[in-house]
Amino acid sequence: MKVTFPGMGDAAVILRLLFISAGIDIVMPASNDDAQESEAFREAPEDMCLPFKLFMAQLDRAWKEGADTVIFPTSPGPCRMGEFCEILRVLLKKRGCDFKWIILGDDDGKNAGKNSLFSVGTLPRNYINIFHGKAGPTRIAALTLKAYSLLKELENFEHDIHMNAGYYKDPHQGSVMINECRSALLAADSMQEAAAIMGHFRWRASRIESDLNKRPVKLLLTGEIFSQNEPCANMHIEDKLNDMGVCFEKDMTLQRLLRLSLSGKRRTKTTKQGIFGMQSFYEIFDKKYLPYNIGGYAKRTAAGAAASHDLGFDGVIHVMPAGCMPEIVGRAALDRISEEKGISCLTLVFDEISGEAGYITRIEAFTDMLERKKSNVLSWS
Amino acid sequence: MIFLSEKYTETRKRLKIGIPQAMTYHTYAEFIDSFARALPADIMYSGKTDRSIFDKGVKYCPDDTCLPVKIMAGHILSLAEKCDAVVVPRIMTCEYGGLMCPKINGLPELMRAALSYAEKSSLSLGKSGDGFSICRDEPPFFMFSERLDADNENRLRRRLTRECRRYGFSRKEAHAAFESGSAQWRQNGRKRICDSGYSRRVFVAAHPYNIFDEFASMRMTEKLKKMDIGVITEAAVLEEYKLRYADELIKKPYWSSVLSQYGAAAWLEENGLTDGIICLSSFSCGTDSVITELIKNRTKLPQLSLRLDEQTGEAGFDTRLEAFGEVLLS
Repeated sequence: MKVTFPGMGDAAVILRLLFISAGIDIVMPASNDDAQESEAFREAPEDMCLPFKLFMAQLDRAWKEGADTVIFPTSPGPCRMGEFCEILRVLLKKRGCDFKWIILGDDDGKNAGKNSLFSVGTLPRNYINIFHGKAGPTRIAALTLKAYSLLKELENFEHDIHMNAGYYKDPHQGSVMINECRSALLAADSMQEAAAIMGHFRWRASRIESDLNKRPVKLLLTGEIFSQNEPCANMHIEDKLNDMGVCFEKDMTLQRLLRLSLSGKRRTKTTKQGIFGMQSFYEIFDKKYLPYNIGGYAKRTAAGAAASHDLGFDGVIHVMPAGCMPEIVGRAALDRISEEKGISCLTLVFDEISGEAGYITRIEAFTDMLERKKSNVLSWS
Repeated sequence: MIFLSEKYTETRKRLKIGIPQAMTYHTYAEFIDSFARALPADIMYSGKTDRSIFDKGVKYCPDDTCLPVKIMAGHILSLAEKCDAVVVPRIMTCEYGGLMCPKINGLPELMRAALSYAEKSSLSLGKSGDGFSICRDEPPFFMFSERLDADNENRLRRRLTRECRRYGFSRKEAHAAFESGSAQWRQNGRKRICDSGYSRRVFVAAHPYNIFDEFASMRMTEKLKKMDIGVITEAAVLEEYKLRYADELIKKPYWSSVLSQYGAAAWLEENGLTDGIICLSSFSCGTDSVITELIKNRTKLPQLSLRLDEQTGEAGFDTRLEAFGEVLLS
């Protein structure tokens, strides 16, 4: 059995280490940078959103590299993401890729509409099935916990650099450091080695020279989860923002996603999340602008944007793939929020167009505007 | 006390409630109509979609939304000038327990955005003069914008009663309205088309708000009938037949429309009750993109996929329909 899985930012790095440590053969999901040229990408139905097309290209390539089993997460709705697996299976079978599918999440439809992306349901059973014959339950639990702590370590490291990049004397160093760290982790052979790499990069990041007299703009990056976390689905927006000398915080990181969806509502209310204890601020605006969970994390987008001013952010960048249903509603709510709370919002919609210039111009104009607003150089500010 | 309450009913202003005939109205028309008629209020319908409604909707609705949402915005804008409250139901689950699409779940937010765009631009909504603000919170301009779940009758009654009381109706009035609505619903159910007596019959896989809106679907059923082709829709197939086909999939779909269209297409094909399938979808609709793919891979019948958008030229649409009709009739 050779396993593959769809890649989403840092998840691919961590999952690779998890499976390698358990002794499972894997095919790494290919980078999405040149997915546009793949035939499968072009064959995907035109109405589907960008993540689907990227998954399709990745899985098609993985089949050519010898994978025969797919691990695919699914959701209890009501966003399109939960129905991906069915269509992917049929379309890939047509192309000759006859995978065996392991669905993680709500595959019996019993939890439809519950407030989480994954729901417990059949998840533990299917998860243990992946390691069948390779590791016992205790080892699976130990490895999973180790992988989770590594994910936390990596994301906290990235978060620190994102938040400090504006103060660096040479802002480029931040994105260079993150990319070096990712490629070092991709070359690691075991969890122990990965932990050592993380320690090394923590030390290196602390040695970057900074200038505390700077007053960088602070942004909240919010929106659809995949677009926030997969660099190829958002035109490497993290690197671009860092290079511009802007501090920013991602609203939905992978660890937050896992926690929110696996631990249920009760737990997340009491857990302090994020460096600023964002969660408690979010609850203030939970019901006001988008009171119900309408799929994805659109509700969180609205609550986060509303709380962003109190949390000290200067503006909000909202990212989504074209045609994302929950985020369209989220965007309509953002309009009201930016009017009532006086927050500047920039919505970036990503589709199959791979030209970066248009996005760079928009982000630059937006950050310039915020910078000027912040330093009171304009007559009306 | 009796005197007081009588006085209250005399002086109470009759509320003018507007019902937009778009989106979920096409599915739940039977219930909504008799529910609203039983309330002591003036009911005003937005009427069938026409050019002016369509233009307003396209102009002021938020970007990226699909055609039915834009048409809904047009209906609401045309009602906003005349009514005290407009019915914009936030239906989260349908009567069989399946979920609705995120845009229906967030319809009040989308409509609010459309209204505030229209208020800001030159289109005057005529209500701001007498201290009446449309984008207000209490009681909201959009009636029934709290969560509604149609699969649980008691919960639905409780929610509707609570909503009605916010607008000054008594509990008794709300209960009576609910009873008359649900009686009507039990009798008639969803609106459906099931033609017979034509030489061919096609299954139209489409949301009710696409197929029953004559402006959006460009009178498709009429045109098909002229070609001697009858139409059947998913509501004509019993729910239990449709559910059989969910087991074929590796994951049970959570959207009610996916399950019902897919199940209906599969059942009709197996029983030889249809000669072809027309997938009538609206551009950038999430559920339709899934339905079209699933049906395409399931059936061997001739299939036509039509996409609706803001374009209203009928020639291209007609050509495709005629070509498909000739394939079926030959």
